[in-house]
Parts: sequence; structure tokens; C-alpha cells
Amino acid sequence: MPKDIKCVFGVDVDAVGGWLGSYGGEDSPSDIQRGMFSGDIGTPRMLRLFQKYGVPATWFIPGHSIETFPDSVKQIVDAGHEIGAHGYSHENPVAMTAKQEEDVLSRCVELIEKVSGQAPRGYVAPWWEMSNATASLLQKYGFTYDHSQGFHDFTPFYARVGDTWTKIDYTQEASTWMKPLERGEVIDLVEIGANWYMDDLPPMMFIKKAPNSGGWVNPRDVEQWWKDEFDWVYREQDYGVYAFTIHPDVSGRPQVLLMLERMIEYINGHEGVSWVTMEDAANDFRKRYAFPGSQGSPFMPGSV
Amino acid sequence: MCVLCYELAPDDHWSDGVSDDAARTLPGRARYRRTRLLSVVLAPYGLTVSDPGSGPQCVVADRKGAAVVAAGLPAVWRAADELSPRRLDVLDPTLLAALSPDVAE
Repeated sequence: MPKDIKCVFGVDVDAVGGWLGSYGGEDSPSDIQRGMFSGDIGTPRMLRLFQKYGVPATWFIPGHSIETFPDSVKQIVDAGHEIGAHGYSHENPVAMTAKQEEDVLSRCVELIEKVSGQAPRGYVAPWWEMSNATASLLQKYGFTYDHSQGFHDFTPFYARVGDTWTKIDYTQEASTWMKPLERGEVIDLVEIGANWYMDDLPPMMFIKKAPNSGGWVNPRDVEQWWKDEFDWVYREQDYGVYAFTIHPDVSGRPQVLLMLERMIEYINGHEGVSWVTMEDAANDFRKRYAFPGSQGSPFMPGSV
Repeated sequence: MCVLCYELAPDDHWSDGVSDDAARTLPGRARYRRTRLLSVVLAPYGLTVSDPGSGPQCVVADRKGAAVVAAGLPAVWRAADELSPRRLDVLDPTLLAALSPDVAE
């Protein structure tokens, strides 16, 4: 079988919304300014990077960023990239009520349709946390794929919802918690695996309010890490989706932009690789492995 | 101060109901119980408490990404006051309503 490794850039424009919803920056003018950098400066820089190499990307843009950075968003749309949904202010879905989550999603769908002329097909849950309501909301609003679940990494799969597990309660008898996880049901929503080890933010963004903040990892170390992941995928898999999750907040900085240039050139030095949008990767997966039904395996036979 | 890790011993606080000598170092069960109680007390303020499992610290966090490492109850209450949009009040009706007699068991 000829090698077919599809490479994808998923770009989350967290910007100010990220500082409001997830990074504890709501009271910090400095953090808010870093969010403005992401939308005003980091985003155009990344667009130039993608243009230089002729690489398509999928931009998951929170509603807050769409409304705060209309010029940058127009540049993204004009460049022909795909737009997906990513909350309004990067709210953690598990912290919201079902109604709040639907209000946020419907508003964001409306905003994306308005700026791009097309409703989003893809979604990334802020913090990669899907609530109990998320999957049904995505199906209700016509999403065909998601990039939030971590059941697999470099081979797409179908989303599974409703897994249940028992927490330990030391006030109870041990027999109350010695129970295996029970799998939920598989749904017709393609997952491009969420993978913290392909994410630029944890190692390279300084977050003042996080006790374990990263931010000072040498991008050359991250580069080696990502190359090792690519090398393993390329050696072990004939088909795979190698998806980056990056942010203009982080990847819009010179030290990371240069690293991404080296990564693209490294990947392009291999036969059988292509750069696609996340939607194209998801649609291609559907052709390889049709939805198996709610009790079927979420994983494509033979995926490692 | 611990001579191995140079951590300062946490301060005492009147709200610490686990004050006997055995519990002073908070071995597993008492530590678990304290974390559970703190979680219940701080939930009405939109805060979570988690225990990384080593040292005297726990982590107090809001739901928007701000978190504070707190060693000992005085530090926990200070962190909660800092992170909560509402001032902590032991007579807060919302707090009292959230507590139930079986929580302490």
C-alpha cells in the first residue's frame, strides 16, 4: 500500500477569549494585550507562513475572536482556509449548563456562517473537554467532525460518548469503587484525535495564573519531539493523520514560526505526505471506514 | 521547615477540625476527607479544590483558568477569597444551604 500520511494544521485563535475563559487573565491588562497580539499580529504572521509553503489550514476561531479581529478573520477567509468553531470566550464546556453551551454554540455557528458564508463542519472543545451535552449539540447543528477526543492519536476514529466510570470514595467500602469503565455508544461524528503532545500551548505559553505554567521550553526541543512523533507514524503507518494543534498566541512568535518552517520542510522531504484541511481529512476517513453503528468499533480495523 | 524539601510547615487555623497529632501530617484518609469537605464548602463560590497527593499543598482553582497552590487552611481561605467573585462568609445562606449533615461523615 502506498504511503498516505495526511498532515493538518489546526489553528485555535484563542486570543482574548482564551484569557477570559481558560487562562485566568481576565484581570490582567498584560494578558489581555497578549490576546490582542494573537489576533492582530500572530494571525497574519501565521497566514504568511502558510502562504509561503502553500499549506491549507483549519482555523478554529472563538466567537470572541471573530468579533474582535474582523480584519484578521477576513484575511483567513480570503486565503481560502477552513473555519471551525471553538466556543465564544473559550469557555470550558463542562463548566457550563446545557443551555449556556447551546447558546454559545448557536451564536458561534451564526458568526462563522456570517464571515465565511458557510456553517462550520468542525469543532474543537475548549480545553478539549466535551460535556455530556456536546455531542448531541454538534449533531443538532450539523457538525460532521470534531477534534476534541483523545481515544486515539494519529488515526481518525468515530466519537464515543457516554463512557461512565466510578470515582473512589474512601468513605465507602472498597467494593463500591472496584468497577471497570463502561463504554458508551459510538456516534456518527469523525474524530481527528486531540493530542496534548502535538499542542504548542502547554510547553510554550507562559500562564501567570497556572501553578504549573510552561512557556520556557526551547522550540527546538518541541521540534525534536514532533519529529519523533512524525517518524514513528511514518514508519509504522501507511495511512494516518498527523495533526498539529497550534495557536497564534504561541506560534505567532518568531522562535516558533522558524521552528514551524523547519517542521514543514522536514515533512515535505518525505514521499506520500500531503497537507489538507481537517474537514478533508475527516471526509477521507469516512470513505476508508464507514460509520459502524452505535455498538461498532470506533477504530478503523488495522489502526495501530 | 522540612529539612528535605525546604517547605514551610503550614499555619494552623481555627476551622481545622482535624487537629489531633495523628492528623497533623494528614495521612491519606484525613487528607482525603479534608479535600472533600473543602470541595463542598467552596463549590458554591464556583471554586474547585484538588489534591496533587504530595506535600502539604492543595490547588484551589476557579473555572476560568486561575489557580493557586495553597499549603494549609489559612492559605486555602486566602486563595478562595482571592479567586471567588464573592467574599467568603461562613454565614452565607448559599453556603449553608449547600452543606448537608452527611457531608461531614
